[in-house]
Amino acid sequence: MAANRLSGPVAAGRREAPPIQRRLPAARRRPRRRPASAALLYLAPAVLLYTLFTVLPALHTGYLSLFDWDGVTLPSFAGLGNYRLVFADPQLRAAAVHAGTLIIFFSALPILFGLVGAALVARHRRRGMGFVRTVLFLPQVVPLVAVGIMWRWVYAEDGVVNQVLRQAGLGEAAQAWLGSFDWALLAVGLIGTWVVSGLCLVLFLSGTQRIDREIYEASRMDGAGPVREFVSITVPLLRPEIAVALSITVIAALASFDLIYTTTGGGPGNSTVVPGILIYRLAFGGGAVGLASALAVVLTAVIFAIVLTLNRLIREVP
Amino acid sequence: MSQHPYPWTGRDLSRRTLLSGFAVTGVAALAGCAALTPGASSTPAAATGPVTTALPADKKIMLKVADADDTSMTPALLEAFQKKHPNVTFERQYTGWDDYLKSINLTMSATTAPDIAQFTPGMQNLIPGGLLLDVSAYGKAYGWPDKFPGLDQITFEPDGKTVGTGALYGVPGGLSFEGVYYNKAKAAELGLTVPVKTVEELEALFVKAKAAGELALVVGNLDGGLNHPFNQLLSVYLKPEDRTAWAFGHKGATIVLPEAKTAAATLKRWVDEGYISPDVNGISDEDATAGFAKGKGVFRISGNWAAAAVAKGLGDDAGYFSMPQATADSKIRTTGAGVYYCVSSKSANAAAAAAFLDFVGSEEAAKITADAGFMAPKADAMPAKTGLLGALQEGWQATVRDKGLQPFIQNASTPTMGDTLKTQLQLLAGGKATVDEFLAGIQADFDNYHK
Amino acid sequence: MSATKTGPGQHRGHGRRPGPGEVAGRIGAPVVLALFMAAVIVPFLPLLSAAVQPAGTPLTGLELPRGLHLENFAGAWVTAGFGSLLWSSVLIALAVVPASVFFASLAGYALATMNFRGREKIFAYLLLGLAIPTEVTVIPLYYDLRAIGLTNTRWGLVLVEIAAFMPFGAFWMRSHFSTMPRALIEAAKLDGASSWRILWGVLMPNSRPAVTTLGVLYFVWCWNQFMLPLILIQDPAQRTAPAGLGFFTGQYNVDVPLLAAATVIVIAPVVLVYLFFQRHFIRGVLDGALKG
Repeated sequence: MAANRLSGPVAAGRREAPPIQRRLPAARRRPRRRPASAALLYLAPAVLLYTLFTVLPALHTGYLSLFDWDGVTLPSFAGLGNYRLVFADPQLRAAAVHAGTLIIFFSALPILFGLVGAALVARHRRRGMGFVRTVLFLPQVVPLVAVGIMWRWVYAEDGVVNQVLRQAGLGEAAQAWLGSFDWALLAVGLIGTWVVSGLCLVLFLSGTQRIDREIYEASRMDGAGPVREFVSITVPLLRPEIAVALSITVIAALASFDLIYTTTGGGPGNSTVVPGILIYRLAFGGGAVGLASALAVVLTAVIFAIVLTLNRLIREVP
Repeated sequence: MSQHPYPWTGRDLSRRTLLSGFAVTGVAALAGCAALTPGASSTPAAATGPVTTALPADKKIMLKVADADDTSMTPALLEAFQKKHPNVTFERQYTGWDDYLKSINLTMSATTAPDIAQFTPGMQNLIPGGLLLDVSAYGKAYGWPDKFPGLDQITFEPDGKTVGTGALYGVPGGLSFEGVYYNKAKAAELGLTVPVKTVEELEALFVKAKAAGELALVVGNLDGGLNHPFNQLLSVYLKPEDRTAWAFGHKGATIVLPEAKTAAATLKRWVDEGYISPDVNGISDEDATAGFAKGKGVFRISGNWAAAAVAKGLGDDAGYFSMPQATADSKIRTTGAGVYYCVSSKSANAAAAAAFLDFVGSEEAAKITADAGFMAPKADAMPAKTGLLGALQEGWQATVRDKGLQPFIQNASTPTMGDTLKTQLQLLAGGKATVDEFLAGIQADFDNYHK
Repeated sequence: MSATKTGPGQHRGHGRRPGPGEVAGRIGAPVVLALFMAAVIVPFLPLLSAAVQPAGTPLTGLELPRGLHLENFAGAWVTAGFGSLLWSSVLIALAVVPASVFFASLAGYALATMNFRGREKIFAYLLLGLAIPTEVTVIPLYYDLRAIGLTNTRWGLVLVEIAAFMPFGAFWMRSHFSTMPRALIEAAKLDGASSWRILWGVLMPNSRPAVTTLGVLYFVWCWNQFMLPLILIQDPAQRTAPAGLGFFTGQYNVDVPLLAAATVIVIAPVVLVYLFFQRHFIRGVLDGALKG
């Protein structure tokens, strides 16, 4: 019943209401300002909690980035010295390049797979799809400690990947993938794809449920195939969800720490080092909380700039 | 698709918006940050007042113990002590090793800090903060220097950076040390004569094993496990005083020495000649032990902690001998550490905690420690074992007799040395660094910290 | 297995012949989905097989189980004290998830539907939170909470998690509410409904997929959150389920079968919650939409 309420008014509203996109510019030229107080009341709990328990500690981190601090004893003031060290660190460039590479695996591939999966599940609504969806979501629920252990076995000398290669007569190519200077980053990246795709899929599925079925029916009546349907209906209509997924996954790629920590720890050598690993090593292993904080501030600024740029790009695509 | 609205992607995030976001943040920063310098004041804490070795028997005492000991040792020691002193109860807080390393320094700085804690790398930062109790006076009263080997590894200068001299901060419960495991069945099959006395002879066995198509030495370096053979080779070649100076973070110490070069070059040769798997960088240390226990390879250089798994997997085929040395008549030198217990300076019952530390070195404790797979501080009081454990025990007694226990170079030299050594060993094994670059790489970390 | 469900009789007829692309889609889609599922499931096989091997067995890859050692689950349960850890996780999730969803909905509603001075600034301010890595803020956070006496309590952790989840929730709900037709709101306004009534009477009943998704994600993140409980709660018995995994990864030895069994214990509740919500909410909506 409730479900019918959804498809009813939403669908009806969509057909009757003038498209909002066309309304918005007018609204912007002559903004009708409500009294702010009501809106602020709605925002108050979120903003207050967030300010107290996320922003203030983060500012505290920024403040500590100006100090030499081991995390235990009294800090001593260091000015911008930590920032000089951050930018002088030769590992940082490598870490930045790796993080950039990981965007392909944490962002581009999962969004692609998520969209394809969502389109297929949404299009083929029939028995068993609930099961499919649950399976595809599974990687998201496994604690990362366990993800690391599972995948270390998959990539191990005698692991599944090599077992398959040997079966296929490609035993020559078999190797310990996480220990290879050439393959480790790719191997770790694919674990990221495995984990994040489920999240993207769930976000997109939630979006497809908003899409009016009749749009699909209509396009099918016009003889549109699944590919055209995907490109011209599913992807455009999911744009809000894609924007959310893109932001979240890019952040996950740039701040990736857990996954690498539990698989390669940054190795072999420095071939999978990312900023998150450097921050962690400094803050928890090295007793250099000030330096780690400076690195975190730089990383946060970079992430924020990139996410905003991405959002602008999405917006500007026609 | 213009019929569908995309309000979210409307023009709502401009650069101005971003800047104003930062501006809001900045104002809050100025308002909020005035009094935010956490941390403890910098005065090392020594036991104050009269130090007593007597434990009051009439008063009920509760001691909180934090540890990351995943063996049966710590709980059994606590239980035995409690049986002897019924008025003392313990509240044990176990945390897994990785998690313990992350959280223990903050736990120790809380008002609810545990009375006794297992000492782990990184906790030396607590010393300048005055959060660990200097137990030198208790050590003198109880006579710990005669009861415990390896006290140098938990003796620190007030800055917490220099080890081996200064004040005593704890005692070792169970000690660990390293040697050579081997697969008896394979050794017999390949006609290898073991044990051997020198590294040269060991390498000759590697050559034979390799020629027979066997993996000679099982190592996993995904998490830096090559440090075990490397530490052993340093024990063999490096002068003890040079080893100590570097491992204990003495100012001006260096590892760029001809002897260290010999050790590193030997290790590199083992990899290059294929005695060690070319996949070494992709195998974790625990998987290497698991593989060896399942019958892979012939030799494995590791510590007594691996004995249980090796014995379980190989059964009667599990063999062990002490690390071969430079010459046949050299004294035994090997690398080891241990489970050390230290006391919080916030403990209201320091005397009771010290009594527990003393108990750890007792004959009664030796049995518990040995049963848990560790070497007891009181080496001669360990109950005799047979088989693999018996061989290990003999090795331990010989090591204590020769005073040959040396610290791992990565535990106390600098706080970041564990990661640095791992990275550099992976570069060395992967052919991405020469022996000279490898030594220079770990020396750079040392110089950076002790400048 | 989904491949068996493709057949000429399967398509819902609309009185037209399926084109060639359509046919390819009908055969191709199940194949693609089956591939996806295989890629997801294969890495789980070593875990599941390890969980039923004899405890203490050294394992290095995928092996067929030697017998079915279900006692590993009991062993892991007792060793790590999962009784109290899971209870702790449940309490924290019960506090965090509803509160987070509620506050995020309120914030997303205001940001999406109301016009007021500073709206974009507040949104950007919230968005900033997405970019802050927990690894570093957690240390100052510990000292800040200690200053107000909230360390070593579940309440402190609950507040921190709600706060940490706010940026995503506000982001998500805002983007969801933005897609809802303005006409819905305008019509309700003409009827004289207050903004509170519009939210609860008009928008929320039509937001089940988005709200359920947010709730499930919050639950998963809350359940698997590891660093925050570890640092903010010193008493190990009050920490959460993933902390139990630490009992099986020692400094040198890992008891793989028990660790695998413990992992299954930790992830089982999350899977169950997901299944439950899927059954009672998501699927209901889907079916309704399909029939309607």
